[in-house]
Amino acid sequence: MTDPLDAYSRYAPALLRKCERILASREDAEDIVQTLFGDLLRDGGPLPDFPYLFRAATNRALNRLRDRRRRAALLERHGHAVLGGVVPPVDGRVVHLDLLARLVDQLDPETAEILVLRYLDHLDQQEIADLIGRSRRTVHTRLADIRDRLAALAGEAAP
Amino acid sequence: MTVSWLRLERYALGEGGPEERAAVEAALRSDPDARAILDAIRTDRRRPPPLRPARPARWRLALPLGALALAGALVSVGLPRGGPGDKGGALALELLRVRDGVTTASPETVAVGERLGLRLTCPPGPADIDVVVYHGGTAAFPLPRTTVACGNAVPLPGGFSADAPGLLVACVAVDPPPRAVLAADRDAADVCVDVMVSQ
Repeated sequence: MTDPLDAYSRYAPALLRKCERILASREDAEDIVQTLFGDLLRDGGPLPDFPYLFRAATNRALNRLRDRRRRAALLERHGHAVLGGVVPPVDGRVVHLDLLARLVDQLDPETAEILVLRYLDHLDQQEIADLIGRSRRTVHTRLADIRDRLAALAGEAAP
Repeated sequence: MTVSWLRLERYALGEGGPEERAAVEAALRSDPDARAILDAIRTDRRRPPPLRPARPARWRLALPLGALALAGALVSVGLPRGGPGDKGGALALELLRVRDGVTTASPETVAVGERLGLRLTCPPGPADIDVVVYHGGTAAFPLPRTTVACGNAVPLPGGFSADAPGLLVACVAVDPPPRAVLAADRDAADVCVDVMVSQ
């Protein structure tokens, strides 16, 4: 596929679902996906494949959560939304938007991406490793760190 | 869950080789969560908003000449003309598809050669408009510039069809700039609608 507009029509619905799983906001998802394709058009290079776009959308959604002003607006509207969509959570762990935001504050960008790929997109460790170009061992270690932080934050939240 | 959102989205898009597709299908047979996700993907009828990007510089140079070439590829076919409404609001554009004598507004897809038309909502009063259609990397002007009596969902006179598959974006410019400007820059139009043209 070489036409960016064709690529937008083909891939945007999946990317919108992807961003909505992270942010619980269709409006923000649309803004992110539009901006992503706008940037691709301006760059004028070869069109990336869907897995690349999937990662790009993930990181842009996470960047939105890091943006203090936008995050405040998101949390005000959707802070208690349960993320992830239609299937049970990984490890029985329900992730709300406000919990994800607090985790993102604690994690480096790559680990935050791994968090989303595992807990919201249900990729297994090998699939994550293949997608981000890291070893499975690295992914395993990062996930252990994520689980520890999740447990700590859940403990913080407990009465 | 035995298969990820990423693999299921790619499966729904028709991507992946035979082995990958077979693996996903095997997972779907045994994994109700995977089936639930695929159902959610397939039943998600929400469409992305039209993309209105700034065009890269080289497109701006290439389009005006290409626009002339597409003029012959979009065939004016004529559509029934309805009476104008009288309660126009903000600008909005709807695509109409005529198939087997039945007119459908905002169709998910259209086929090559099918009759297409447009319905415009604009603030009441006369408005000079031009219609530009972007398809296959070029722009065309299938309808004559005209003045419409604006209102709600006013059918624009005439119609067109596409002669090849791919994304088609139809736009209307009110008080339109020269056609060379519209051909070179979609942002010069005021409102657009897009649809996938299938074979």
